[in-house]
Amino acid sequence: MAELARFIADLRYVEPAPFWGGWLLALALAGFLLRAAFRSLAHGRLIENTPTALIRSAAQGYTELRGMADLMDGEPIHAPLSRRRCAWYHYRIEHLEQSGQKRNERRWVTVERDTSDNLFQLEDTSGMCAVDPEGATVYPGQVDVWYSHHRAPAGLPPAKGHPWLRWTDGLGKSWRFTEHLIRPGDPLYVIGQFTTHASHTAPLRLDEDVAARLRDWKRDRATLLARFDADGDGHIGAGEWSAAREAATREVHAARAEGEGAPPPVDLMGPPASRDLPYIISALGDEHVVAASRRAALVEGALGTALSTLALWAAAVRLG
Amino acid sequence: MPVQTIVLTVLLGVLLAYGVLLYNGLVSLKHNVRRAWANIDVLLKQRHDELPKLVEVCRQYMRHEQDTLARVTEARASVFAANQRNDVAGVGAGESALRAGLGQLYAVAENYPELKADDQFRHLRDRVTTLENSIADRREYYNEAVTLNNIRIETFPDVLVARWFGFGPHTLLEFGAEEKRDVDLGALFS
Repeated sequence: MAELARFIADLRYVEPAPFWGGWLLALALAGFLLRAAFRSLAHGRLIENTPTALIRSAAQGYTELRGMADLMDGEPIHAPLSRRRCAWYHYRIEHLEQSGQKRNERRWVTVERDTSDNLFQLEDTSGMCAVDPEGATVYPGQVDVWYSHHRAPAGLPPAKGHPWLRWTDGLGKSWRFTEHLIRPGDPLYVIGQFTTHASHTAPLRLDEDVAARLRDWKRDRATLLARFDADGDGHIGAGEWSAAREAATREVHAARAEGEGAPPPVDLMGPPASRDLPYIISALGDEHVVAASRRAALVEGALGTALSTLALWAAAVRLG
Repeated sequence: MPVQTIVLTVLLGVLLAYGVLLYNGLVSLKHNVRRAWANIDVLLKQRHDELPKLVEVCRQYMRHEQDTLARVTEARASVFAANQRNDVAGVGAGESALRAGLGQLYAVAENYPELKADDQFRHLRDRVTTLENSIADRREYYNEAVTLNNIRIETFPDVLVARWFGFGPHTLLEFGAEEKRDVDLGALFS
C-alpha cells in the first residue's frame, strides 16, 4: 500500500500531457470494465427472470426454451476432427512453435479453427424447434483436448485418464486438437428470438390446385368413370366433367382446411433483434450460464472499481 | 481529497448503479407477467369467438340438452367478464367451469351420431380443444412468470427496491377445485 501511495505521489512530477492522457485512458478502461460488469450481471438476472416456454405454445419474441439437442432431418453433422455425430461443434488445431531465442521458449499457435453454423434441433415435451447457432454464445456439453505428432488427428480423442496424469498426454508432441461438441441427446437450454416461419412454397392459386387434382384423376381413368360417369356411356360428358370439377374444388378446399399439401410452419430460435439481449445456447443448463455471468461480473467489477479508485486518487493527488 | 473518501465515492457509485440494475430487473419481471397474461388473453378472445359457433352447431342436434349448452354459455360469459375486470382469480374459476361444461358437452355429443359426423362440429371441437391446450400451456408460462416475480420481490436485496418503489406480487392463475378433484369413474359410468 505504501509503495502504491508513493507511486501515486510520484505522478505529481509527470508532465501534464502524458499524465492526463494516461489518466483518461485509465478512466475509460475503468468505465468499460464497470459497464461490462453490470452487463454480465444484468444478463445473469435476465436468464434467472425469464420463464421457460413450451415450443408448442411459445409466443413470438424473446423466449427461453429447454429440451434436448437433436439433428435436423437430412445430412448429419460430423465434427471435423473426431468425425463424431454432433448437433454443433467448434474446433481448433494448434501447433507448438518457437516464440523466442531460447530453446524452451515455445507457445501454441492456432493454425486452423472453425465453428458449425448448421441448424440443429431442440426438442421438448410439446414439439421441435430449429436452432440457428450463428451469433450465439455456446456452452458445449463436451470439450476434448488431445495431442499428436502430426497435423491430422488420428481418430477419436483418447479416453480421459486421471487429471494428475493428463498433462503428460502432450509431452513431446507438437500438435494440439481441441473440440467442443453438443451431441444429440444433450440437455439443451436456449434463450433467444423465437419466430415461426410459414412455408412460402405452398401453392397459392386455387385454380392450379384444382387442375392438378383433375390431372391426377385423369391418369386413373377407371376410377374417374366410376365416380363421374353418371349415364354409364363410358365417356365423361360436359355435365359430368363439370361435376368432376366441382368435386375437385370441394376436395381442394377441404385439403387446405386440413393443411394438406402445405409444409407445416417451422419454429426457429435465432439471435434477438436487440443487441442488448443475450443469445445463449447451453448444454450445461442455465445455472452454469448464470454462474459464469456472475464470475465475469465479479472480476470485471473488482478491476473496474480498483482502476477507477486509482484514477480518482491520482487526479486528487495531482490537483492538490 | 483523502483516499478513503475516494474509495467511498466509488463504492457509492457502484452501489447506486446496482440499485438501478435491481430496479430494471423488477420492471422487466413486471413486464414478463404482463406479456404472459397478454399471451393468454389473445387465446381467451379467440376461444370466446369460437364457442358461440360450437354451441349453435350443437343446438341444431341437441334438442334435449339445453342445460348443458346454457352452462357452457354462462361459463364463457363469466370468463369474459372476469377478464374484462382483470380479475385473474375470477378467470381461473370461470375457466374451470367452462372446461367442465365443455367436457360434459363432448360427453353428451357421443349420444348424437349425426352431430359427431358433422364436419363443422368436428372442426370447431378440434379448434376449441387446440385453443384450450394452448391456454393450459400459457397458463404454466404465466404462473412461472408470476412465481419468479413474487420470489424476487421478497428476496434480499431486491425486497428493498421493491418496497421502496411499490412493486407488488401478482396472482397465480389457478383452476378451481372442480378441475383438481379426482375423477369419479363410478359416477361417470353408472
